[in-house]
Amino acid sequence: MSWLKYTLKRLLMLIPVIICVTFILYVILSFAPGNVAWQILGEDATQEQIAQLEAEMGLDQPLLVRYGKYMLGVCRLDFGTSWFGGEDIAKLFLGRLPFTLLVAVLSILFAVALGCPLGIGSAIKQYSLMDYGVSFVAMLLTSMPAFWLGTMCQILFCLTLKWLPVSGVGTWKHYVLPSVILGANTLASMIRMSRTSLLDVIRQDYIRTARAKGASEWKVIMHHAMRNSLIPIVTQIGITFAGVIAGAVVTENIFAIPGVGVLLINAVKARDVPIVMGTVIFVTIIVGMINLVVDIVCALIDPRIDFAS
Amino acid sequence: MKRMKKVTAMLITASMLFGLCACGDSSADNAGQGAETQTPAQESAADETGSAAEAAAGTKDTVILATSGEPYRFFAQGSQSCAGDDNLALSNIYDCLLFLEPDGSLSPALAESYDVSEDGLTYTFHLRKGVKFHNGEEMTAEDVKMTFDTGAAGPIGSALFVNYDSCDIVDDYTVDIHLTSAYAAFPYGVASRIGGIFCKSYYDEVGEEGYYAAPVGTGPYKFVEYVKGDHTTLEANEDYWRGTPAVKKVVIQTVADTNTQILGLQNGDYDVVRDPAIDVCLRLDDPGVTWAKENSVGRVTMYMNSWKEGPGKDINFRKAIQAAVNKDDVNEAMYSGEAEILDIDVCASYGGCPDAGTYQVAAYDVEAAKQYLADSNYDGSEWKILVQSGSRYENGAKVIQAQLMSIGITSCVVDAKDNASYMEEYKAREWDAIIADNLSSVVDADSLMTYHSMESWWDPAVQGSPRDPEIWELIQEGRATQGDARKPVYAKICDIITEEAYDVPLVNSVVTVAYNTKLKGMQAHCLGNYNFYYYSWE
Repeated sequence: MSWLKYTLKRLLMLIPVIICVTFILYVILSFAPGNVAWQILGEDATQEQIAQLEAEMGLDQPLLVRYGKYMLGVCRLDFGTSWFGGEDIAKLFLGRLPFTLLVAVLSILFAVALGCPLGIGSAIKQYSLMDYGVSFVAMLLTSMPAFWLGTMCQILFCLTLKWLPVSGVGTWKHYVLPSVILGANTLASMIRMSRTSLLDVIRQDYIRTARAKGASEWKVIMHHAMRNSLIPIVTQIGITFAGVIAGAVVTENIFAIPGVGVLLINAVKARDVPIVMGTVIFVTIIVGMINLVVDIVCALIDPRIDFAS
Repeated sequence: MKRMKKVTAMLITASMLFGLCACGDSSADNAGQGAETQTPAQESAADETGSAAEAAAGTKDTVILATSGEPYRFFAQGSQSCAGDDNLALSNIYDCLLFLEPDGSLSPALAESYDVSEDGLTYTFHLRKGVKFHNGEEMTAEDVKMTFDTGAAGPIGSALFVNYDSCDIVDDYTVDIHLTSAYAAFPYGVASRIGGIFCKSYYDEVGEEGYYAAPVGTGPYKFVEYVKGDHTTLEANEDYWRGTPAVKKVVIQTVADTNTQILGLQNGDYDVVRDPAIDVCLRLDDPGVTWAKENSVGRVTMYMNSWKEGPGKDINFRKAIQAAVNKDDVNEAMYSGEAEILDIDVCASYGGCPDAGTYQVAAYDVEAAKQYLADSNYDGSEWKILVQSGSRYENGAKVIQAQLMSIGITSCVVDAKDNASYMEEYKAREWDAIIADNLSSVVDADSLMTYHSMESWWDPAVQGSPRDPEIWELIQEGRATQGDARKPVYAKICDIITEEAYDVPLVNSVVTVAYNTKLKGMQAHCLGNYNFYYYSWE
């Protein structure tokens, strides 16, 4: 049952990670300029009113005490409430998560479904016209910033062709552009990663052996090379997925998706510490779990990976 | 054994993925309003009939307004301050005793009329009869008293209910509001966001928190829901005292990206875009979209710090700056040249605004500016202009920076800060200069006091080096004077400010609105309010 121990160990390792991340963040936020009490009360508030609110919010206490109290609350699954709207942080985050998850999953699916075949094709036909073409597309996608590509796609597909809505959520049509834009960069990574990975594998001795034994090219690629070349690709998918969850701010902004990225960035701007802290904790857990899933999937693909070791 | 390992690992993976999805699903249930409630804007946009198609067919009864700043405080008299974004909802949920019209004038609302005592200390409001709150209760003098008492004690009470003392109930439909000392601009406070009359009995029942969550007013629209970061929905008040609104549902949709707002408007996803940049409006070339602008009740002015040690303490240095600023160029940078240049720190629409020709105007004169600089003790010390980063004022500040360099002030720095940092520095009064838009709910020349009064919230700085006592005396005189007799008083104040070069008034700021051409009743409002009551579809 080494896999169970491994999973448990990885989950437990999340605890110090969360403590480190939250502490660093809490310290940074506490030193960030901007008086929260004053922002809540407005510029006409008196010093007495500000001091009273700061005392009510516990902002007059030392940093470590505030952090300690916050983390004790987290242990009781109490992530606090927004300083500016009073909403429960857990509900707020979980209300936003489905939008971000959906766009993230769709973007990864788009990138993998298109990127892997293109990368593999490129590797099989190395130095061909197709290889150069695909490499060029990958370079182009990496170079184009999301905010520019997003706006250009909005103009083309929404205003000119009238195929899709400009922004928002609600129907499948709303998710087409955000997924493609969010996945564009990942698509480029997938193309390059799958190409490089397969090229690396097909130069191995056992591939040469398979060919020498008279196996067909199709069988060599699909049966012998593909499986081993998948490991770095799966790892890359995991890393990208975590990045997409945490950093979908630009896409969510452009397409007015009420997701986690926008929630986090708005909270940082407003110095709404409970939202920032709560969101970061949730995102840390999700990223940790995704990494764990990636490790397990890698073990499934590659029998050489052993949990016990 | 190997197969067993694989199966178990697959099960763990599947259960984790399921857990993630379950988080998402349950979130909708937990939030109650987050995920499950599909964005009405997008529902409309996604509908096969579509926003534009419905408008064309004349069947549309919903308006979707796109805004980058969302309203989230739906009760203005509470312990938390509310601001311009909140006004989007507040001005439609609540009615005041007086309305502030789009051009800045006042008109009767919940008060049919009002009288002012000769000494200017008592305002008697005669209330409209038969006005119902959204919960069906009738509005009476008790609600008015409660509104004023609560509002005056709140964080923005002293700024908007200036000199408020008490409210006496004369009868069910008459109240006397007493001031501690005369304040001619008081009616503008009455028409401001904290003048929105709320229901006393409902407040007693639900308290402040309840009122924030589910506000009840007498306005043309009832509050339906608020989903943080996404939208606020209002529905028409069928029993509204001025008649049922033509638009049945209003969705205030949060769309952070300004490009998306305009593209969404052109695509029919949104019907109205709040305050788009004027250069964007000027470039709009779409028969389905139109736009309007109005002079706002805000002055964009560069205020200079004269109380802090540094170059700004020297009047010659300030005068050099005053003479060196070419306001036309600044106007071009901030409003594509579409705003009106200000000669004094008072908008023409303000009550008590002095007539043109009755006050001094500082001329743009580069040679004079160079001479003033030569006479000053400017030693190349850093001189920072504080602005909000990414704002149009940052553009204006950069133009001014270049203009100052041309006369020899090479140490001017544009200090662009994010909103929270900007507000903190603004409050600390440690800046050398600041460019701000003073969008004043009190549409009166008394707004001059913001940067020139000795009675203000920034006491620590003032104690060190107070502003001109003569100005403060004149401000008191202006408050105690009624009608046109106030104008010479404010002209005198403006003259002192010009002579001392305390500030450089730049432009009267502009509010804009872009909207679907088929939407009627649209008007840009001087305070940036949106009166959905007047909207209707062609």
